[in-house]
Amino acid sequence: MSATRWAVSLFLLWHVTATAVGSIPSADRLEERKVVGPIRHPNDDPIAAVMTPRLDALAIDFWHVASGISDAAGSLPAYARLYLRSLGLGQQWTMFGSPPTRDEYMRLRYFIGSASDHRPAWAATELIYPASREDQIRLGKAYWDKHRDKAIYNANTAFRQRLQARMKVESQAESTELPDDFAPIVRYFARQFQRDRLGVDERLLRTEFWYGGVPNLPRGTPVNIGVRDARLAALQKYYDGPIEDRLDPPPYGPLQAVEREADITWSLQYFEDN
Amino acid sequence: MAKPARIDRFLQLWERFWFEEIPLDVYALLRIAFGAVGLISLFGLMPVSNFWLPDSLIPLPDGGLGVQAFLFRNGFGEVAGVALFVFILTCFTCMLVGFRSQWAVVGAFLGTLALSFWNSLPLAGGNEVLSVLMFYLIWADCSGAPSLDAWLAGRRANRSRAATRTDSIWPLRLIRFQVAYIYLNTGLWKLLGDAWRDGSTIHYVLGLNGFQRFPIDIPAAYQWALTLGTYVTLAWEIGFAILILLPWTRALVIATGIALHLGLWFTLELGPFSPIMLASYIAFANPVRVPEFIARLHLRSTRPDDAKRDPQRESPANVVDPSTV
Repeated sequence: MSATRWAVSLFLLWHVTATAVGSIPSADRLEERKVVGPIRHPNDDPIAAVMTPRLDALAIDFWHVASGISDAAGSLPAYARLYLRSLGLGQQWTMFGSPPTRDEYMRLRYFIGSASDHRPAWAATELIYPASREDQIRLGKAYWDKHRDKAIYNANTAFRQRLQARMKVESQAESTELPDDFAPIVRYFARQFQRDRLGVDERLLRTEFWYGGVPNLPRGTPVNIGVRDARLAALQKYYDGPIEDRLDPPPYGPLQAVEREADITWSLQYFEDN
Repeated sequence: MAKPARIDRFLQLWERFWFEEIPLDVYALLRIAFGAVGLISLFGLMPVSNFWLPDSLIPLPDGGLGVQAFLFRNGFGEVAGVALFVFILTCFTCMLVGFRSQWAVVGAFLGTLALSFWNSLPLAGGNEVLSVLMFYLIWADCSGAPSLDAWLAGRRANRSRAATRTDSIWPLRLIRFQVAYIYLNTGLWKLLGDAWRDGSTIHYVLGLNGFQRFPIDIPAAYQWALTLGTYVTLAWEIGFAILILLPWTRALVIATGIALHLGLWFTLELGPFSPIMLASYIAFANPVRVPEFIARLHLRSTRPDDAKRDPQRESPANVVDPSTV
């Protein structure tokens, strides 16, 4: 072999090995996905009834093997991942590894006052996630909406992860004590709202971020048409833009405050005072 | 002292596996496909005011080397954001048409890498896949036809030389390895997911309000199909790395992959993920047969006679035996 081929061979050997070693998960990541018994025996689906116990048993064995490899590999995978990240190849191929099982919604509530008064005169609430209506087929524009959704989704995921890692948030906490991962989302929409909706003598006093979730029905559970229609009716109000409340604006909510709309449970996660 | 025969044999096999010469066409097709899906991906990040400027949906500039924070602080954020967008757009366009192909691929890789630092918020797994695969394409000669480079070379009367150009197979092998690795890795993580093992994943995913394309409920009578689909997906992802190696299962595993990604595309809005994965399947085409395929499509404007020729006979002597790739 020529000298060039020897050099390329060394790179190939190194790179393929590093990729393989780098895929060995850390103990922390494995712990997050620990498969614990007992082995399940679902009876809601004939195929699942056959497959689930076998796959549960296989996954328990596989988890122990992976755990053993992770322990034996020590800090090698971390060094391999460092090399891969330095090339921009930091790889986390876990797409839909643990898919969400709930519908998610996110909304912002703006409080507006006059230029000279810091008491809110009116409020408006805007649904920002998902961007596309969910009562219509999503084509064309939905592709662009998906990128906006992804940005909001990722910001929310980062916000929650950092929040969990921190000490428990007290309900009277100031916004500066919260992780700032959601700040760019809040500020982006707040700027748009200010530009499109506020008069010259008005100013934005506060923006609140509310997260809403609804657990999806397990397989085989019949859909309750009444509940579904009530949720669509609630969402319908948001589809024409921010819902203004000029007569009786809601008060500032404490963190973790809860509101309900149809079967959506909203919870206040973050706020910014202007 | 002579090397032991076994080492010689191993080195021969190693050299043959990684360094066989193949026609450039498969690299050209990959360049075009990645250029096209790169543009599709980039169009999703438009308008520029949504994801590229300091006041857009972009993380607060902290951490890293502080370059972004410096640019934002000194009022260069907008210029830098627009410049990065134009740079990536130019690189992907050049990849698509094959103009300055090598530089275009390098630029597109560096551009997508820069984008992941500039604004990772709207990026998904598909963007990572594209970036990683382009890293391997950097090492291949992507200037083969159909490309503007080849057309210009033809005008400079280099046609006979262009017709026999080849390159090593190792970048193609790495792309194949990477795709198989992605499926194996994600498949094994899925095995640790409760919903994959009880067969309910597709039931849940099709119902997610942030992903579903059609606002419909799957009738209870067809739930078994979703359960079966979940298990087939899991088995296919874990088995891909092995099944792709076997000649008698290769076509089936690729056909299943195409069906799966088209199915995902049809039923879920996942951004550019499906087109990117489908583009990567070009790497599994037999590189010796690709010139024949391109000739059949009449894509070679610079080599109109090639369609009549037998590509096997045309290939240089050191091109790999089709049965081994």
